[in-house]
Amino acid sequence: MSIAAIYHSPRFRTLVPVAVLLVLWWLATTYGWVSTLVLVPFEALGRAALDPEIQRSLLVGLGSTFTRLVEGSLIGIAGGLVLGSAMGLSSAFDRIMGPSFHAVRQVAIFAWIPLLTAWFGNGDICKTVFVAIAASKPVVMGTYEGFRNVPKHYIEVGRVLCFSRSRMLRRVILPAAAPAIITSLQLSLIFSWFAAIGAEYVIGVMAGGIGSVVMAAQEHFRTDVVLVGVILISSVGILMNKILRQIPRYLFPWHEAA
Amino acid sequence: MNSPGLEFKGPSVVLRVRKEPVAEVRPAVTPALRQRRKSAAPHASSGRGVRIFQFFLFPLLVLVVWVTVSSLHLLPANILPSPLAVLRTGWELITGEYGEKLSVHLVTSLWRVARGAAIGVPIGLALGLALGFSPTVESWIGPLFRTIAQIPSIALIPLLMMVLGIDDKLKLFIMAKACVIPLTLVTADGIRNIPKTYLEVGRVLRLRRWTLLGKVVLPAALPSIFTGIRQGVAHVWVSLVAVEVLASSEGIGYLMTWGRLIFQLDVVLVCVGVIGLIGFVLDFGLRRFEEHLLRWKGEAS
Repeated sequence: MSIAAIYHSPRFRTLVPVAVLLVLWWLATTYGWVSTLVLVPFEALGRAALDPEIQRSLLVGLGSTFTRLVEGSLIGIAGGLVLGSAMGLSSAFDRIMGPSFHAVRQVAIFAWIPLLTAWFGNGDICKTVFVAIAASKPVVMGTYEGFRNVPKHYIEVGRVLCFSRSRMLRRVILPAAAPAIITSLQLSLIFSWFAAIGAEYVIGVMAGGIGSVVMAAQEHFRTDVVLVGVILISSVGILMNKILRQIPRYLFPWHEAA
Repeated sequence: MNSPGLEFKGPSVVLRVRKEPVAEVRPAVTPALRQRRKSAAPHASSGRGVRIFQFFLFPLLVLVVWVTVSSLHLLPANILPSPLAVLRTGWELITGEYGEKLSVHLVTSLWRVARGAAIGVPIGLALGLALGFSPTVESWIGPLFRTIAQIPSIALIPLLMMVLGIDDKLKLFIMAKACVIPLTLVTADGIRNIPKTYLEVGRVLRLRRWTLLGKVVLPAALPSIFTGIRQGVAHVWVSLVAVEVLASSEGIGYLMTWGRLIFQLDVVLVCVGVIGLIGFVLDFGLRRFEEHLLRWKGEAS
């Protein structure tokens, strides 16, 4: 491959800024531009990442957070699906619940934490409830929008063919709304992952997930552990995003083609 | 294909109906059908009174449950304060009789939002324009930016606390980042989705790069830029509340954690209400502003 071809290749261009940042990091730590409290050298980072003690505490934390995530988001998604489809399918129900839902939705999500810790304590229940609230919001919105935005002429075709209510739902409305609903589930899982982490930061050492491990390390000025933890948390989020994004492609190949 | 009904064969549509002749597919209007049609037009079936009733039904229900629970003392008052207590505390927080004054904390928080947005909006706009307009910039920093964009600023808080401390710098950085990400992504997408014909006209007229940017790209991308700003400001508010709840000595989030610490949940509930209200006002205000600035769009299309 000629140099010009490498220079123009997207992969090379993607890697350059990453390499520049890494070199800057290396320079900053070797020449002591910044304190080691702020940025640790690569060796220290590697040592922390390979330390079995640190690995164990991070992985145990990760497992605990994931358990909370699964429990919370299952509850939240189920609730969100019920509320969203009820609001999307019945305009009377929409008029009853819609204003209240939109009012509650306006509250910044982390504002619920003080209230939840008072009601459910600092432990796992509080985190699960918080994750459930965070997970339900995108699902309600997505399901509602999905059902509301079924193209009018699809429904007209169904009506012309004298479909019964249940048949219309199964054959016309559900398939048309499914992509929007699946997208909202995807959003909801990513959202609740970071909500769970945020909740652990805020609630503190009591909560016992990976967020609490990182926060405890921060209090002890262990920058190496904080860095490893934050990198782990971010990678899990990015990885989840990547995997979840593939799902609609398998479920709705026709949607992509259209 | 064994399901009968519509079958698409190239441009012509073949309608096959099993057994019955086509003429009988659509029967006379039966009562059931009339009912179905009626339910399809909801506005015709429910009057004004019904809708007002529906609007207040759920809030009233919540209020009734809340009043019953607190007046029967089913839960201790520091777990669920009565609605009246919340109202009284709200009033005392406004007038300042409570010791802490709501307006002081609110002004602190809103001033932070203003500064965060003032830093984030120009950066986000510049980045979004650069990424959307120039394929070169996109190819160099686009992928890295999109990867970092997937990490919300809240996840980075422990790291940033070590770098920036826990005072205003931390809040400003997190708010600015929260604002930059959606604004950049939406702006870049908006520019990329500008109809090709607009750009071709620009090229035919041999507009210079900056003229093209100022006269064609920017106006065409304006709607998405506004959406980006609205999303950005919403993110600023959400992340500010998170940081203030986590580490702060003033601001509405601090007031809330303070109320939680002394187990005055009426203070917490008032703050939840105020935070929701601010979120709503920010969104609604920017939406109205957007509609006002983009009035020409409705007439044009």
